[in-house]
Amino acid sequence: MGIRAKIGLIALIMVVMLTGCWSRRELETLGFITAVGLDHAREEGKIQLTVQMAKPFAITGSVQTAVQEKPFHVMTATGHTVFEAVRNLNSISPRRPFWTHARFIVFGEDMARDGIQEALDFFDRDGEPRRTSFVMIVQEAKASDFLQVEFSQEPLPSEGVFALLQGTRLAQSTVAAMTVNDLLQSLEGEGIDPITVRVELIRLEEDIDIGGDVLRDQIKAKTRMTGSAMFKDDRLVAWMNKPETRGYLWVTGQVKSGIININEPTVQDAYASLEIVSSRGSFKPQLTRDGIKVLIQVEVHANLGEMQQYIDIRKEPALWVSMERRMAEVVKNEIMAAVEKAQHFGADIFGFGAEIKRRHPKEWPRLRENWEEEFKRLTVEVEVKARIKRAGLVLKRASIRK
Amino acid sequence: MFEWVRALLRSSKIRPTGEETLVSANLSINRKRLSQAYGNSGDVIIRELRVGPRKIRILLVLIEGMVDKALISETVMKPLADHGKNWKSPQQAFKELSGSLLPNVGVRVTRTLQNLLEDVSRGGCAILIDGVAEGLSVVVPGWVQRNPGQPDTEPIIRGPKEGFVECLRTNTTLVRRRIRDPRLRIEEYELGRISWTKVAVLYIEGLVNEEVLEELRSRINRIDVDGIGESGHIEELIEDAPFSPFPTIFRTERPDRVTGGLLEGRIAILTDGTPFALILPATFTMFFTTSEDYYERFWIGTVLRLLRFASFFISLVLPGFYVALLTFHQEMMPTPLILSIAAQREGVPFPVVVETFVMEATFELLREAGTRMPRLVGPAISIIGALVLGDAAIRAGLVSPAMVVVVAFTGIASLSAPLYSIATGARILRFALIILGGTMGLFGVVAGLFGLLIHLCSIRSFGTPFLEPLAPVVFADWKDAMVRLPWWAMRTRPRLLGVRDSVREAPGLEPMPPREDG
Amino acid sequence: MSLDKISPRQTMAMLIISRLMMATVLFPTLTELDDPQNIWLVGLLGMMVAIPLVLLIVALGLAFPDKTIVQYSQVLLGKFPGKIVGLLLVWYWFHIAVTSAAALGESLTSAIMVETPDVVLIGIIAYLGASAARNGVEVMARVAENALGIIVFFVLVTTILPFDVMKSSHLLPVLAGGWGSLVPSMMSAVSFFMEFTVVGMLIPYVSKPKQTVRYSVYAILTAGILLVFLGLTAVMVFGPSVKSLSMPVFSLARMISIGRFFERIEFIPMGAWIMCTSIKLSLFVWASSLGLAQVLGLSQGQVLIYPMGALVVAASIVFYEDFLVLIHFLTSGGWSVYSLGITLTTILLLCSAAFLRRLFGGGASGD
Repeated sequence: MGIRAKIGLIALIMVVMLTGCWSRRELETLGFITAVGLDHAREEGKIQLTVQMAKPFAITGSVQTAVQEKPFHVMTATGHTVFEAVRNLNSISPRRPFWTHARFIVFGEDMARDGIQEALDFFDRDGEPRRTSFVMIVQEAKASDFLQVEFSQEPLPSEGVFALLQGTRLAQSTVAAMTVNDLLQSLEGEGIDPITVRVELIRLEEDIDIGGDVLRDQIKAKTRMTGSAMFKDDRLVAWMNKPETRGYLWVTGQVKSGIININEPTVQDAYASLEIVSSRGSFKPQLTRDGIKVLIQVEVHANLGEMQQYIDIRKEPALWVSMERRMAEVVKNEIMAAVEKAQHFGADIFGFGAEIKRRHPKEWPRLRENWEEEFKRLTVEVEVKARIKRAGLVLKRASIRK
Repeated sequence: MFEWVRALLRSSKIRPTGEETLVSANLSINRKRLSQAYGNSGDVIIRELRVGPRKIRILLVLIEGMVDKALISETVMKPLADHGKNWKSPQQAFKELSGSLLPNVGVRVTRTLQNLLEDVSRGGCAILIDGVAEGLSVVVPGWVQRNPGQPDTEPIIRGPKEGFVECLRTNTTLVRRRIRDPRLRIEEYELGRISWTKVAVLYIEGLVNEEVLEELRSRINRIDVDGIGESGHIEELIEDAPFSPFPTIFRTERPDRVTGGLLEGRIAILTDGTPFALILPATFTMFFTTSEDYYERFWIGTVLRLLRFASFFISLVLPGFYVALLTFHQEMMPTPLILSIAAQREGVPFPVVVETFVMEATFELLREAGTRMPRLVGPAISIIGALVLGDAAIRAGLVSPAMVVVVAFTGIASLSAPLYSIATGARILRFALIILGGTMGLFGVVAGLFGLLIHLCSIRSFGTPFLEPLAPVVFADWKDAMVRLPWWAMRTRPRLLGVRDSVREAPGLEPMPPREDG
Repeated sequence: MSLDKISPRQTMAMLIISRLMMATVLFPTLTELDDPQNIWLVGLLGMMVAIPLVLLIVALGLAFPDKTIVQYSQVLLGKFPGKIVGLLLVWYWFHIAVTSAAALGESLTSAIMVETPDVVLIGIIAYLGASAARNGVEVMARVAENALGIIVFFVLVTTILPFDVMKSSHLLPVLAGGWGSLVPSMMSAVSFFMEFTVVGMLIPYVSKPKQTVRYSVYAILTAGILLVFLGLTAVMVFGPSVKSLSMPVFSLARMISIGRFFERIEFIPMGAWIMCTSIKLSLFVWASSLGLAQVLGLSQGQVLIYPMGALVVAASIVFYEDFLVLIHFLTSGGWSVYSLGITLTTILLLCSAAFLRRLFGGGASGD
């Protein structure tokens, strides 16, 4: 070890000692934001930012007295930009807002209808928020109200909403969810429009704007996931209900599981429920002389989950086939409903345009000019292959012997 | 007069090689000189006998406690008594004694008093006869020594339970018994101007690299100190990287490890007075092996070795990493975890880095206390450590439970290193990483680790790069570094700096079912 | 005195790490593309162009197996012009070190340690790099060899783990903008491969110089393929919006989320940054110090290393005042023209000189 190395080492140690205060944030000075809401503020042209901040000491109850307290706190600040509002939060929060753990960003309907692009930039540019946060739109309410939503089983509402979203996606496939990353991609990409989660606010008490310091058992509002929000560029244009949403998911091949109900033709008001096991969906745009035609192909496998009618499937193979046919019918109807709605609003949520760009890069520049009109005009052909694979543990329903 | 004694005392050389003092024919003079040399020390016995009808004066000099008394009376006193009556002259007595009568192996005839003195100091008995200007010495060392038992610092489950003891000769025997080939060489040195400590250098001729051996010899010959306390003393005087937190010489208490090292073409140094042998050249990966790795099935050896590497890394990095994550990179932890830790830290008055530093220091303190305390007060330490410092500190809100978990985990990881000396390096560096993590976050930790990597890459142990076979990458040696392959797959010796005769076993030793047609 | 010797594989490790460094930090080659999905084409073409150029440098070096490029340029071109070429190369390597240091400093301060002054971070990295170089080329090479595995592991983790957010449809269409649209980005790719001119300094230290040919091709292929992987992953994850990212690889790591526990692993790209940059700085600071010493006729370059490291730190602050200057220089073609200009001139000059000498029996081809 030469003398120079020693001097270097001493310099290094000095530097290390001196850097003590840079970039450092002690854990207990941070307020962990678990969810973010964005609305128009009352003042013209301003943005209202609402954050839900976790109160760690109320989560585990290590401080005995605080157990009854809600483990989160909701705060609101306004500003001309999101970043200004974020900094304004500092003047009302003793803990420095910390963004990385935000599970989702929720927009109020008003804001969403006017466009969300401007508000999103902060979440893309700043190092703290993540691109993996989900984006949600609350129907007919303000985002600030939505952040008061609670669950009696889950102390942190943001985790609850997140679990709800995952549960709905996995069990029903009736919600199309986009993260900030997906949203930015579809905003940046040509020929594709965003679609994301719609949440509903269920008010249990009229005035829910109390703030966070209330007891746990007083739940003011609940929520429900009921489909999706359709965007044209960055503006919300329409809501899609559950079947329509699933129609969208069939096309894009995102259906993971869910239930398809089919009617029994032989008996009035009797249904059979089929559980979707797997699905595959794809679409192929074709440029023909008559205009653009999109061929949508969906393959779905299902198991028989419940049957309200007495049928012995061994004896009636034709019924099996007809059930498959009716299932395909249901899927097709859902798809058509989604496509029609999208075409009505001119919102290419499926990314037909993007697919044309990929497959026919030569033609695309011509179509791009007037893509909205082209999209409204294009025709869709749907092919559904539906198979029922298994019938569960019984071959026929237990019958009532008379 | 007695120039040589004074010469001995101021001598700058290890051995008293001042002007030689010849044995005088006058016994009284010899006696006077010898007793003066030892300055009337209480343990030195100088006894004059008159033997036989001619009353031949015979002088015996020995040090009580250094010689085997039974052996002395059996092999020295008895011949004197039996044959003394036949002796006609001192010359005849001397001739018979040196020629045939003494049944010992180590009999030396010398003309200088220094040689006699040396032998007496090594546990011998000097015999001088009046009228003969020559002396005899019989080396029959016999001192209190413990039996080679299971070494305390390297206990194993399967394998030999013998460990080195404090006696050099016993130790060389333990090795020689395991390697009977005459090519096993034991070179002995005597180091320490005053302590005259015996040091043995062991190697196998034909396997060892001559350059390394020559380098070692020159480094040992350079040693000029008053005394060698322990092999660690030698280690510090001959090692390559004296400032490194890591040892570049391996040390062990186990003869089987020494044997293993010798067979790989390494060199071992045994030191009188300590059970710890040194093995060199040493590489980083060596410190993570135990001899049991080679005796148990290779799978378990491999898995345990990987586990040890992991635990070394954990004990080095975990607290620093924890501090960095909690003070700089809260975004990198999963939400439930960070919220739970945040909840635990509510009300803790210290910054994370201070908390961690203090808790780690406390742990080291407890560990030190646990090692040094008299066995009788052991329970007290456990009570204070576990109850007072752990539980009460949490209840008082001084530290967070997560912190205690981190400290405990680090502690366990650091205790699982098979060799204390490498874990010590990690123990020291851990604190540096805590500070780096607390001041610059993960950048500091990563930069620190990278600096450590540069350091490890830059040091050598007797010509062998310390990180071999990891850097430089020698794939052939990976068979016995991070993993251990089965014995039949380890056909070559490690490619240390120019080991000769690299093939160590016959090909195709892998057990196989017998051929069908055979 | 025996020279420190490094193995061809260690040389390869150093070259790969140097090439990966800029891509893991800023990835200018990717963000420069209009259609980022063509990154693999750019990567392949870049490699195809780079291989012959690098082989030329290696071949020149093998003609003078015991001389560095700075030394034999003085043999080939004559004392004075040779020194000018040598200085040009030294400046180029120095500039690479400066740019790398600045890229790391700017990225760390904008992504992770916002409040820390970048001179501190650059200083620490430069110190680490210089201390490795000060210990000699052998230690430097060993560090690189050891770190290569870790770095490649980090790169693979970053490319494989975001699999659940990858969309392969982002990779189409291929070549929508025609071949012409690839040219600027390809020039950038080749210009970064031109960092391999540094192999001219390493060849006298390689234990088996002949194998440098093979291993430098391996280096180009490995680095190129890893870059293509990284680029493709970034495109599949971010789609067209990848263009707007300033640090695609870092953003990529932020997308990783597996099982809601293994997520948020920004320290992986950060670790790769620190290691890559330190090693790259050590290599280029070493090369420029040694080169400068040989131009000036000093007996050894080791003494210049710490001053050179300090100079790199200072220059990285002075040359690149802010992120914009740096990113503009790197992605607007400025760097490509600059880098290719210097290196191609040098290579062509040296090669033609060598060719002419051989033609006229000048006997310059070493021995």
